[in-house]
Amino acid sequence: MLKLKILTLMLLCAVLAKAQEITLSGYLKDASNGEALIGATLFVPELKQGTASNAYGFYSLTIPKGNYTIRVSFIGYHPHEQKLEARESVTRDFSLSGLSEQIEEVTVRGEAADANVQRVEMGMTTLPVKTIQKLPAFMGEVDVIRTIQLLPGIQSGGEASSGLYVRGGGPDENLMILDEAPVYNASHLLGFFSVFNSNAIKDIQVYKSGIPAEYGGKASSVIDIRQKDGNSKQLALDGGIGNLSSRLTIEGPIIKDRWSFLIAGRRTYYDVLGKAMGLEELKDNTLYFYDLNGKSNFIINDKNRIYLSAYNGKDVFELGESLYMRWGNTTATLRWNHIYGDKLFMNVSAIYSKYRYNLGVPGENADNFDWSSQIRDYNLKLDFTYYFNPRNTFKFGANTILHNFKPGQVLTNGENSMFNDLELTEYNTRENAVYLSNEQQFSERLSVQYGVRLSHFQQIGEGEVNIYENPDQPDKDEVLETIHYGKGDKIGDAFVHLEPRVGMKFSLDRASSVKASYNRMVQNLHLISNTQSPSPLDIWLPSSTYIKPLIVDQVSMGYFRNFKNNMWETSVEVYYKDMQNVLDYKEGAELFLNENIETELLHGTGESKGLEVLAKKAKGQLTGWVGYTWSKTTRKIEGINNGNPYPSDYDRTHDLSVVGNYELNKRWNLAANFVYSTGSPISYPVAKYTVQGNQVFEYSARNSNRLPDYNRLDLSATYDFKKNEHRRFKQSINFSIYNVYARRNAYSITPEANEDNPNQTQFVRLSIIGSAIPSITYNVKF
Amino acid sequence: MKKTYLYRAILLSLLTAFILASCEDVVEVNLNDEDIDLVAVEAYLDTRANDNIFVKIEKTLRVNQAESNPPVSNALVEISDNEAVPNTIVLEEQGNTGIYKLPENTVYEAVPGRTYQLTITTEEGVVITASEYLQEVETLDKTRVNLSARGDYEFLAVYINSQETPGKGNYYKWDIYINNELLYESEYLSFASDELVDGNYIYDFEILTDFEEKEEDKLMHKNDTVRVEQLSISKASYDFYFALINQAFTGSPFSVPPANVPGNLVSSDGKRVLGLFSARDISVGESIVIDDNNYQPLVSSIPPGI
Repeated sequence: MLKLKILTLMLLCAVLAKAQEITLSGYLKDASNGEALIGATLFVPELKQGTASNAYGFYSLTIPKGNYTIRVSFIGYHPHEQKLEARESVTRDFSLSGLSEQIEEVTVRGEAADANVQRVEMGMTTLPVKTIQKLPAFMGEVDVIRTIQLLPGIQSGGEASSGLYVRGGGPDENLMILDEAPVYNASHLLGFFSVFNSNAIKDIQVYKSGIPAEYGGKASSVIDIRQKDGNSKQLALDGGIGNLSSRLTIEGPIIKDRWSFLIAGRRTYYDVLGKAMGLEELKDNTLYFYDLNGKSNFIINDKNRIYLSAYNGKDVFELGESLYMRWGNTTATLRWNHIYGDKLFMNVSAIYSKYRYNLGVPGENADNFDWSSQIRDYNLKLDFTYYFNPRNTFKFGANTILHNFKPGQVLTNGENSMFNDLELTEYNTRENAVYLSNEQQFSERLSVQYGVRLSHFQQIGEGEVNIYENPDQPDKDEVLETIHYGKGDKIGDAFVHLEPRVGMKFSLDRASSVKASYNRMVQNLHLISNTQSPSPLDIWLPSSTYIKPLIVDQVSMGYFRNFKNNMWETSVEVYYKDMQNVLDYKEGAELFLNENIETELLHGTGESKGLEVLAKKAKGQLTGWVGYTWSKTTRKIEGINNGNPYPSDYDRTHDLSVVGNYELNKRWNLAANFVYSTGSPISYPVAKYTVQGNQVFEYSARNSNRLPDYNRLDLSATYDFKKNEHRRFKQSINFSIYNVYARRNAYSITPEANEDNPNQTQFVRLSIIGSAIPSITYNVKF
Repeated sequence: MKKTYLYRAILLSLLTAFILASCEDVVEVNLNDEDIDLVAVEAYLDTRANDNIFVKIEKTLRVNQAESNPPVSNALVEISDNEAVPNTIVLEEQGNTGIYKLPENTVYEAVPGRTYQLTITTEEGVVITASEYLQEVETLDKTRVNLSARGDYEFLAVYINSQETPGKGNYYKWDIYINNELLYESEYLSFASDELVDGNYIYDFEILTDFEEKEEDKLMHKNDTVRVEQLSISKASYDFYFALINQAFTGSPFSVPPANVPGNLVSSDGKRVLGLFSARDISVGESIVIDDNNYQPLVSSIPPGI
């Protein structure tokens, strides 16, 4: 009886307490153009409670009734303070005005100054686009992915190499999403540039560990790129003309403050320049790429918003009339934000993504052919954020993706072609997931983000599966039969995995914290490629009877500390990754147009561990960072290197980046970056013999040698024209030099017979960039 | 004809054209100390009337050694077929060169349809064997030399016309002789499988394009004699040449990692034997002397109405 009374009393108190609570919610925006501010803070000093705005600028804070001061702040903006009589739940938007850029003030716009210490996600870095745009430009283009490579734990494969290696993971293990749409090949021109035009982008969040439950599908990282919404106050123009590329961005309101749009385009014209320079090789050839980004937002009312984003890009290379290569991505995202009450935020997205490439010989001669390959995604996503109370934010949602792969199709023109038409088996898969997580503040010092994601991956028809005598060791000559499946039929068993995600932060004091995280990531799409650079040969294949899902478990720990009132940010992190079902290829594997590709694959285990140190100066005339990584990544696969562990292709013992930005005065801004890393592993031959007069080489242990160390210095200077000061029309000119001391970094080193003495073997180094490359770009902003 | 080597050669030529600021130079490297000491065999048996067997046996060298590979001398080298009463012949070493051929004034008829066995017994008693089926080759009907469409009619190319044997599993190699000298470099290896073209008549298949700009670097000049020999090779030989050409084109962004070249020889001591034994049937094409008429674009060999 007493128990019941106490229980009832407690319930009553809870209800009463609830009745005393109100919720403050709304949007945080930039006063000049209406752009939603991501990660801005709303703080109530009297309660010592606050919250941050989400990816759409939405915030929600539940507090007891009373009179308070509301403080809204975001780096790079004047803080806004307002008194509020909180009697009932209310929707209130806040707009912040930007600080004019002056010396001594903060020059980087972004999240709260101490966010790196205070937020729970430890492996996450936010890159404001302003930082990226100040760095030295390569061939006139600043690049998002190139900047991410300057962070510790994230490495590039070098020039002309595909994308990113994050903590020992391969280039296909990064979930690169542009407004939630996955981009399958984010490389232009063999990997020199990414497809992301920095003029169209607002914010980039990079997760290398502690990946929250709302993300899944790739094993090593998440690179979440969000396009700008479009200026909802006035028409704005931003363009640049350079010696190698040009771009133009137009944004503005269709209905002021309610409906805005943004269109950004960029095109390079190396072929035009090359022809003008009289380069023989480019006389009849075409070489260019373009990107086109578009976005439009419509605010229906306080509770409903619609966003439409699209992207289309292409690389074109044509060698006269004899060969062509074209590839590109197309993405489209339609999103609806809806707010239930004032605590539950919902986003529904319908997403389309396509990556396609073509390679062929045009015309109607004997060797004409067209080979194409593509992957298409249809994705429906539901995400909820429930701002339960200031100490608990729940996130949950579901996702279903239909992947369609056409790995290879050969078509011929006319009767003369000696090739027969050919089509590789089409694949279809359905990838589903549900997740649930909570970010809970246990005390002022301790916050934990915990959650779980359940993934379900099923291959469905149409499709074909080869059955081999030895399923564990498929052999091309041991095909028992090929089973055909009709549309929608289930092929094989589904791959179901539970992926726990936990991250915690413990504050030692106002300026320092300790963080730890564990996550399990499962990847069911695999990039099949054994070339060093992205090429039309690369195809994506799903987990299937013969290709197992990649499972990566990562634990990570770090110490974060800021100095001098957040002027200096420093951190030390260590991580360990265990990888199951790592994929590699048999020696001499032939992947191109192979109908039995499973016979060339080998599975094994992998391991990566490392130490990362970062010191960043965020304020002042001189800003920048120094990042250093020590790491070791190995693999162990039966059938390679006699089953002994060998260095992974992505192993880089040391990696150092030094980035600096110096505001000399109001006109001049100087920037520099220096990178240094251990050379990639390589195999040199151990013996030679002759056949038909040629030197033939014999190799032994895999990856037992190293290329020479890679290092490079880039410089840039930007000049803002005097007329700029108080006008809307701004001009600037940027000079950049890539690879200032013209180092010939080795892309590959290969043995060959010396021409004069055929018995002698010499090693030839190929450097993709062997000289300093200058560029000039003229920029306008209106 | 096998797609891969064709497009790879195309891709490499276009790549070297467009990478503007890249460069190649010779550098010093630190090699491993490993010393593997294996035996390498290069053996051919073809269907010519005379001097149709060649077997070279040598030992491997470390990569930084700059001499000829040491020959393996005084070995017992035999060729035999699979007839009810096998036809066997013992080859004779030419001096101490490690090269073994038919003894003087001896002939050995190689007949398509038979399986041939090579047996090598070294001085140390190690026995190395390999076996090859001799596939009959289609006749090389016509050889043409004209300006290639690749590179916009600036470079000469060699074309062949032949029937392809119906039934998958046929492989071909074309040996190109310029002024009676074999064009031997790995990068000019010309070979194919019938995977994509099985049973078709092959019109004007381009087997060599002389992409050199400078006159002194060109392979073919006016008044040169060009002759093609079409060979039928086994799958093992095809895989061998495939790996060999991959080694020739290694290092570029589209190249695969370096790999060992697979062979078809086995050794009684379990060690890997490098090289290959290839039994091939030959169809010798016509000899063409290059004159002004060849510096024209190719006019298709396809008869009207097809």
